[in-house]
Amino acid sequence: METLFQLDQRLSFFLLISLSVLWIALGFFFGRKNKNFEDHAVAGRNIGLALGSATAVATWITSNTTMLAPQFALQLGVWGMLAYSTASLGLFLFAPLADRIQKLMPNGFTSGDFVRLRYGKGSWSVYMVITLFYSLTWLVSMAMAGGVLLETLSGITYEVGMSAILFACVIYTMVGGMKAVIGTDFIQSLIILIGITIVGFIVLDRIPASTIFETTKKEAPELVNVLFPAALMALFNNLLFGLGEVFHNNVWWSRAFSIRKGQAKKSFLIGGFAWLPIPVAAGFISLAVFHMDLFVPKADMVGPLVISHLLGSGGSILVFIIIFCSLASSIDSLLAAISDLLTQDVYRAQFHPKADEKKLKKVAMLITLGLGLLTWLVCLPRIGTLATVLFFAGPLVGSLIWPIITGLFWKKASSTGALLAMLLGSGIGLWSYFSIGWYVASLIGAAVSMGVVLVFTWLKPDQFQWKHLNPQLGAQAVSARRRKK
Amino acid sequence: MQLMQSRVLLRSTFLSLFLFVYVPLIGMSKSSAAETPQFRDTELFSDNGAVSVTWTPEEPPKGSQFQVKLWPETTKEKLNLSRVIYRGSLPSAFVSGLPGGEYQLKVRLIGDKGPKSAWSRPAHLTVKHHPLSFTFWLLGLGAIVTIATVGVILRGARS
Repeated sequence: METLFQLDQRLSFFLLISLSVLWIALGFFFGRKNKNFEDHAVAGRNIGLALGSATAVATWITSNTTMLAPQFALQLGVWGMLAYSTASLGLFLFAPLADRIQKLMPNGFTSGDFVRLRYGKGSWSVYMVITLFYSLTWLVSMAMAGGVLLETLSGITYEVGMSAILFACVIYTMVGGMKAVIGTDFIQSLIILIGITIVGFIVLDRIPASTIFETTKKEAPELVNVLFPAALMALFNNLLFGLGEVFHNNVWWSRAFSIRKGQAKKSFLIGGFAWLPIPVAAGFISLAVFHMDLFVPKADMVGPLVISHLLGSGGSILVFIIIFCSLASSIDSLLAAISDLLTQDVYRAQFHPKADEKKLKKVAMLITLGLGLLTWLVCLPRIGTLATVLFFAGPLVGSLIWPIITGLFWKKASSTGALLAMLLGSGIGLWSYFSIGWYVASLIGAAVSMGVVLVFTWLKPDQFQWKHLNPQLGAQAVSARRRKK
Repeated sequence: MQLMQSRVLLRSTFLSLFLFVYVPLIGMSKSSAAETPQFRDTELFSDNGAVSVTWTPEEPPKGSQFQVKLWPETTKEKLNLSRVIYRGSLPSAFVSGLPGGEYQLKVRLIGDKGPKSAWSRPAHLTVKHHPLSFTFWLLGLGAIVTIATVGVILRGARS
């Protein structure tokens, strides 16, 4: 009974080709007016409220939301479902941060810019290692998940499915830049929201919540136990993992730079509210497995398994489209964010500070292409699993929360403190990952990092000048200081 | 006398063959017995009540499926307390929501008309949840870090 209702291969190829052509065409359309690096990387800093909110929702709905949220519920029950939904707090709390980022860095391009200007090269180097590790594992896991899920749903081989998704995303991100990413995100978020809502209502209509509760209580009693230890531990861990992911990553900072002034805060708040019910609905679906007498071979297959059994071939088409959209909306964002980070923070800041805007745009496009090729090569041997790789990054991103937030709001936050917070938080967090479990690693990483930041702010405070965060003003201030000397 | 002895010997040989060959197949289908699947790992531990089990061979023979059952060890494999946790053609099963305790699992091949192999050697599963005192300690730590984080952001944004 573990088999999914597989789609007819012809229909699957038709869907795969149609969706790919649609996104590539939209990429060319949205990116047709891109002239320089600012247009390409931060969409001319002119994204409005509707597109801003939609891109926040779409990017945060990854294949993890549609696949890992049901897995969380199946593994950790009702608490697990709620734990996953706490990731929306990342978007809510990033709203005031985005506002602050726009004020402090009106000409900024990347999160790397901030760390370098605020804390210096030492912290920047550690930050770059962590963020590139996290972003690349996220990108690779998304592309791999695409191949695996398309194979499960339609019989299209892993290599073909993975290559097709990656090819489409690389082409439209390369050509259209951030405008294409955000424009396609808008359409993708609408499709995902409508699709998940339909599935949630159908599940509730066919199997009442009370029945799901009763059968779960009988078959897997710990999943509805209020005092389920691992699930309770996962609650704050997942919340802090979510905060770490959003606060540090250039995926979110590039959106803060792209959204029109004064609209960023509202965009992220609306995005958070729209995202909140998605993991609850997706998680709830998985608990129906006990009532439906379905057997689960692997935890990450539970979502598609239940949906395709409830809705038959129609459900499989819906799952196919939702998954394709959620994968594309994350892969394109990651490609754009990593490429901007490498172009701005490495190519421009370290090697070619005088490179003109057109040259930078060309470099960003080439990096996107190279990144796509690298991802494809890493994904080809099909190693690793969806959840394990990403949770390994949990303690690393957890350790970045406090250096980022205090760096944005406290003049006294110290550079040495930030560097040690990242190193110790990551190290001890990783130790707890292996010695206790993945469900405490981000929490431990964040707690250690917080302690180090607080101690150094108290014992060895900096006196940072905010104007140094605005690269142009900062450069002027440095040259003025030199002239005075 | 010698003839009688050889008849007895022949009968007892047939009887032994019958006992050795046929009795283990009682409970299986009429079809020939297939290779019994075996768990890759027979000592399993879980601290969250969830576990993934895998076995060999990777694929069941044509017309067969894998079937996995689980039961609390204290009940000594009584049929009414064992529960089928998997039936399908993939070589893995996932079970979750188990209360703390000792469990055993077995896997076999089944066809449309009944079992096609004997049960495998059992795998032993220990589920030991984290102590609640440790859980509440971590919950407290999580609450402090979260409240402090939210506090820094809201206070910073206001000022």
